Amino acid sequence: MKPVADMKNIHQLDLAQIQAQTRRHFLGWGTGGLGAFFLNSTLANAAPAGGHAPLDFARNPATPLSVLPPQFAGKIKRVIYLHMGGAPSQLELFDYKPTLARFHGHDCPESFIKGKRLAFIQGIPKLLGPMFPFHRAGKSGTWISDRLPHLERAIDDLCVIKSMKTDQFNHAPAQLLVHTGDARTGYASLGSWVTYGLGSENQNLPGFIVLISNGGTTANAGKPLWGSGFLPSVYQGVACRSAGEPVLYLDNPKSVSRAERRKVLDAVDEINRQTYQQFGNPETVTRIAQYEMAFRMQLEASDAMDIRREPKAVLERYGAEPGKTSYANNCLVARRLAERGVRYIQLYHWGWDSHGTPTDEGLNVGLVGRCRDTDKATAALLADLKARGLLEDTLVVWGGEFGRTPMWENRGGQEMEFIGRDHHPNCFTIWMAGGGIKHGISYGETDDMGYEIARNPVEVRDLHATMLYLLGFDYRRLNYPYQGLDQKLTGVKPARIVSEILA
Amino acid sequence: MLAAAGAAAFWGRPDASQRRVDFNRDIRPIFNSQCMSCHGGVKQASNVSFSYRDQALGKGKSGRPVIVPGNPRASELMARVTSGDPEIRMPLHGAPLPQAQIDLLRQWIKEGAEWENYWAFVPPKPQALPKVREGWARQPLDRFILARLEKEKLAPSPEADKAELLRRVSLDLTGLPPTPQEQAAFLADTSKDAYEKQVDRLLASPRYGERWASLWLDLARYGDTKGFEKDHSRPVWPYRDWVIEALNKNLPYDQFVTKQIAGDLLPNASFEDKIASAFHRQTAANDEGGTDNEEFRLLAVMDRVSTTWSVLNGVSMNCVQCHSHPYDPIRHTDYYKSLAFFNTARDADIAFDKSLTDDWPVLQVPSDKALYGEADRLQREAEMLRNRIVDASRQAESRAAWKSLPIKSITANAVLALERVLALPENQNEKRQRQLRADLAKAKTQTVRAAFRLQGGMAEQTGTVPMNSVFEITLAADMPQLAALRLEVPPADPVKARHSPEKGFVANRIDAWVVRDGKSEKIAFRLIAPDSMIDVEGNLRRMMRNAARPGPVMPRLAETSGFQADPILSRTKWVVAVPEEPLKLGAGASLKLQLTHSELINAASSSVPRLRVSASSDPRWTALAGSPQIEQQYARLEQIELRLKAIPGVALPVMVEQAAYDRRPTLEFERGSFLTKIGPDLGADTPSLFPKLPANAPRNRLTLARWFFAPDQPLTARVTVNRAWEQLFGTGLVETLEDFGSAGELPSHPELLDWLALHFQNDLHWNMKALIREIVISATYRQTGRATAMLTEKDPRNRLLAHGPQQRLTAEMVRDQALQAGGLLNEKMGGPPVMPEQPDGVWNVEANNPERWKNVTGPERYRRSVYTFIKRTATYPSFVTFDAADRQLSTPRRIPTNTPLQALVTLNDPVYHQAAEGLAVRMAKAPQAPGRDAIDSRLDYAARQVLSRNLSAAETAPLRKLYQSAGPTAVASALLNLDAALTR
Repeated sequence: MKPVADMKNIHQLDLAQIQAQTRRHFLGWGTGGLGAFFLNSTLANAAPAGGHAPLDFARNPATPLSVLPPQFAGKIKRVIYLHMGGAPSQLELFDYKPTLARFHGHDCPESFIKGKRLAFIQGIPKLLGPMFPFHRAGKSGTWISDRLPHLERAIDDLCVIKSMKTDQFNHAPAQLLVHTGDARTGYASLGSWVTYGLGSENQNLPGFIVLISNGGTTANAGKPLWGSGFLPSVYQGVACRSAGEPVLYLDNPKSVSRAERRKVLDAVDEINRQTYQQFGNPETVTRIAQYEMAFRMQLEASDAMDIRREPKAVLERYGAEPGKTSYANNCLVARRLAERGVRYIQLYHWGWDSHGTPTDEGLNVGLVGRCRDTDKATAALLADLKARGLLEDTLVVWGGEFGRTPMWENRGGQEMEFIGRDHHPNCFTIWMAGGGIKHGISYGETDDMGYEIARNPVEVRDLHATMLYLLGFDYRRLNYPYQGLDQKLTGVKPARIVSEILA
Repeated sequence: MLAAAGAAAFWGRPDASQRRVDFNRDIRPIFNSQCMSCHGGVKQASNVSFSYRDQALGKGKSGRPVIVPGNPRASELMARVTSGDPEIRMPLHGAPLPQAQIDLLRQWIKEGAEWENYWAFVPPKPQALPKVREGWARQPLDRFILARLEKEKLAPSPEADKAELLRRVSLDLTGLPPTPQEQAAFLADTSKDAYEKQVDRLLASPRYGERWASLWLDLARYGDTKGFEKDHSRPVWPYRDWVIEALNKNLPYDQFVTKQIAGDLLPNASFEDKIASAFHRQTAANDEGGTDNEEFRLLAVMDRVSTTWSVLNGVSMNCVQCHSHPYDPIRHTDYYKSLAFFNTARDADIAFDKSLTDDWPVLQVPSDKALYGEADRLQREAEMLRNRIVDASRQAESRAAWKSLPIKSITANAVLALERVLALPENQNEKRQRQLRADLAKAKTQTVRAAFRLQGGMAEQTGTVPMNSVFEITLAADMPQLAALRLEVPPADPVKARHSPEKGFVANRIDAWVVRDGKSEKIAFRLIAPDSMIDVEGNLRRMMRNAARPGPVMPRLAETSGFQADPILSRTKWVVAVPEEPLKLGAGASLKLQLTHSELINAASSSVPRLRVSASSDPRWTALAGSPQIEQQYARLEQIELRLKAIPGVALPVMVEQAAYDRRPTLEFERGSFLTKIGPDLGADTPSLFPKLPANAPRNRLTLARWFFAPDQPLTARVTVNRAWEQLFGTGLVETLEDFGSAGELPSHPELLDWLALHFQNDLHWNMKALIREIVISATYRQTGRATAMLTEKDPRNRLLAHGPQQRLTAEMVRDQALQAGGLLNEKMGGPPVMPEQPDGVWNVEANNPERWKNVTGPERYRRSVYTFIKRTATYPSFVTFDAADRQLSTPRRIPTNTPLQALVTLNDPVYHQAAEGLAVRMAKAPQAPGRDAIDSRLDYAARQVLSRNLSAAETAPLRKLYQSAGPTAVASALLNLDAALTR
């Protein structure tokens, strides 16, 4: 049979297919001068403007992670999100409450519990003052406790937000809200949205990589935290491991050498080209490209994840130990991935759920341990990014899924063996560092007891809107049609870009 | 959005000048893309909306009418879209409308601004078969396809060769490629209906149900775990097996659906019908400690609403939860009327700590189907007995006269509670004893901070109550004789609690004494009379957990009986304790009461929040307690429980309706928040946009399920035929399977969609296999998948179907094909899910969930993919990579992707390597074919296994080279990774 298409035509076919994505297609860029208009309107938090043509996220299917320009010039190119699973206590780390300390051991006011939905506290608990001493640090004079001596050295690089709030008070839904914008499972994660919107700069590595370390017990919503939800599955996070195969199925089977694999791929490639000539199916062209990319990824991903290649001094700065699964190793890997152009790097470190029930969940035991696990490596990551000039266009975010109560947890109405605090959605602290934001500032305040936000509340969706803005998107226009709505990360409630922290 | 503009280009929309303007074709897309985001169902800026005609004809904030039919000049709409002033012109901040759209709007208004329901909400219309060139069409549906091709001046492609066709239809119908024997038989069969015979063989194969089940299980969000943080296992596989069997038996689609939505409500519901109702128990449940169960119960109920509508009608209801539909005329209250159908099921989210079975209510399903009959009889009988017990008790309670016994004092005692817990038979292991003794020692040193407020004879908790606690209560007992003691727990707000329940309780034991002259005399209760079936189950279960002692059932039961509002309190909950003989009290006597709480609700304390006590002297209580019937009923219940326990099987969560006395009302949630409900109790109803429910039918799930199959239902048949079409051609006639509303795509062949829908509904009577058969024996389906350059350019996505489909294999097919080619496939059907090999550490280790993924060994490793364990928080990795649904929510459509991670799976996942090794071994034994040497014969053999055909000479060359330099396993691996192997 005469070939119906030849390889010369592949380029044109690609173009045709770009217009004919398996999903809906969109018109192009709408009107000119959009960026300037958008900036003015969002910072004033104007009502959504009607009539904008949707943004165009169509791509050559052979390179679904190919880089797309942001909607307007973004301040940052990538994100490293350090999630402290279980929810670290803001009252022991950043949010200093001398008044609460004065009332330590008193019964808590009735207004703290009446009509409130609390996870475990029952009856009337006592107030619990800060467990550790605080002091002002850096030129900025930012408050910090004595548990984070390493991070303290980077304090003037941080923008500490003390007025985060959420409406979820259980781990799984709250984590889902932080990472997908919805407390239910099945929604697209922040990292998926970002790689969908922008692609990734390195086509030989996944654009959204997840690194997990466990500090003691775990509490988590699992894979839905980095799932792509309704977005195409290629935008889901790929969980990589710092011990064993870094990416699932990356390594050839033991009996297959790289040279032999090359031979297999050569045969596959030759026959696939013939198939394309016969059937003219554009998916075949894509597949030819994907097999080549997989072959390159085998080297590139192994190399990216291999911290043995780092000098000893660097390993020491992070506290990293090759071959182990640790937060320190993951921080170092995060820097290596950032250098290689990975768009979104998500770390999870579990074990911050300081209820005071088992030993490892005590503020006096578990929290101390988690600080020890992470403090040095987090500080080393910030310093390393800065030294390499990467911090300018990277956003580093640190935080948990909610806060902890100023009340001393009394599960089942009993005093507990270790000291703990219950889940508290009303306020919590996160910090950010990197491009596009002010450094050495604290934003937002809680009241004297650390129970409610007193000034400048920041909802999770506001954080998302701000992060998307830094990446170059109007959060209202990074959309995907699903279930009858143009879905967006920030959901249906109005969000706000926290313009006060923008540099 | 190009959805509209693209369709316009596709359909060659005529100029406004040429013909009358059609609202759905010409105007609605303009409204949807340009206006509705500010003037729709969600936002009605300046009081202007284009959702309904009466709104659009109304006046905006300016006071001027938006649209005046027949008079464009008087219509504010025209003034706004043509204005030169950017402050006034609409769309505000956007580009002005193209002149063509402005002209269309003007002409439409001139012609009377007629409104039409969106096409999808109008029932399908009968369609005449198009006149086309004769000779090509094999089925009526082909005429619609050909008519369109002729209009575009295109010709269909030639029929695929036999090998290509058999591969396509085998994978489409059974999920497996044809074996070399099947290929040979088909090639050798020269009869005229050779292909039809293959189709019939495939439709009759049990593999058919396994393949099509994957699609349905995506829609049903089937998973083997409960989701969320703990993600405990949930034994729901009998439901999965029911689906496979129903598909294989070709249960008509209307029955297939009705049984799943409302099998429990069918008259004379069979055991299998109840299993089918597990469809709506596939919703996630949150076992995390400290959650609000009502919140997650409602999430599950809302999921049932959206899943029902999306699966059956392609209508998205989710967005109507918070506001009226942004594009379609579905009002906010319609959502809650739909919710009311599902809001009266008994399930309540939590893992009930101990008092009831996990995921209650459940059906005990034997592993051995031969025992279904017995299990069914036993459970029906138990349900009947529980009903009778409760009815007798409720009747007695309502006719008795009650005298209040004011509470004089109440305290909480943690030490006594712990001592009782310590003595329970179930706590006699060493670890538990050690822990409890430590708790007890601590309790002895701590002062209990519990506090109560006494008011009007009622006690209410105000302080902190220990996790395990006995409430010690003294009561005035100013009456001569006492036949029954009633304990009541009212909600704090009884009106609100009906729809917004309060935290529940479990009191698991009641003890009482008569105190006279400083001496206490223990009262021997014979009956603890319950007010609902949950108590009968809870009390009996506690008895069986703790007391394997012999003897009459009533005294044993009285020892472990209390009452429970688990997990929520929605009405005044009561229980009546009846002594063997009426008590003589007399002057100066008082009562001492102990209420024990040592169960937890969702890992939290479960004590009664308030309590009031009353007494009755009605002798009928004594008669009831002493009646032989009640003793027999309880004795029989115990027997049944014991027998059911002895039958190996699983507890399958199923749908069960609430009893009338517990029935939840449904109110509208303000802005979708369940914490603030407004308005009256809404009766269950379908959205007003749709045909009405039959007037006299009960407003329940069964009526709803049947309504979807009413003759004038506009969407059920369309959505179903569209889904079958999408499975077989890769794209639906309506591409957006999930959305037939006006935000979805228009159908590519609207007449065909209507014809096929009516044919399926009226001629085929919802016969699924008949529908699929008609499609796959059509000339359209039989075309070769080869596309000419001209076709690829003109119709790159093959929406016109000028050539046959070329689809990537689904995740399940990719794996099953490899297993079959490697000679590994284990064809065993049904049963518990299996855990084939996966790398360590994929399954998250959650502290309070001790379950682990344990790689199976032996032939179980190679079961068909549909039987793989689906862990919702950590789905089997290679399936996810090949776009399988994650089964969190109902997935109406899998969108295939093409990524390097897929290559890594089929190259390196151990199961593919094992398949390649298996195929290499089989290859070596291949007999030499005439005219081919040994190597070529082996290559051909392997190609027939994987590609379902022989190799061409050009394909043989590189494989031969590979065989000689790297061996047969490398060849097998290369074959499994070919584009041709991944395509059907």
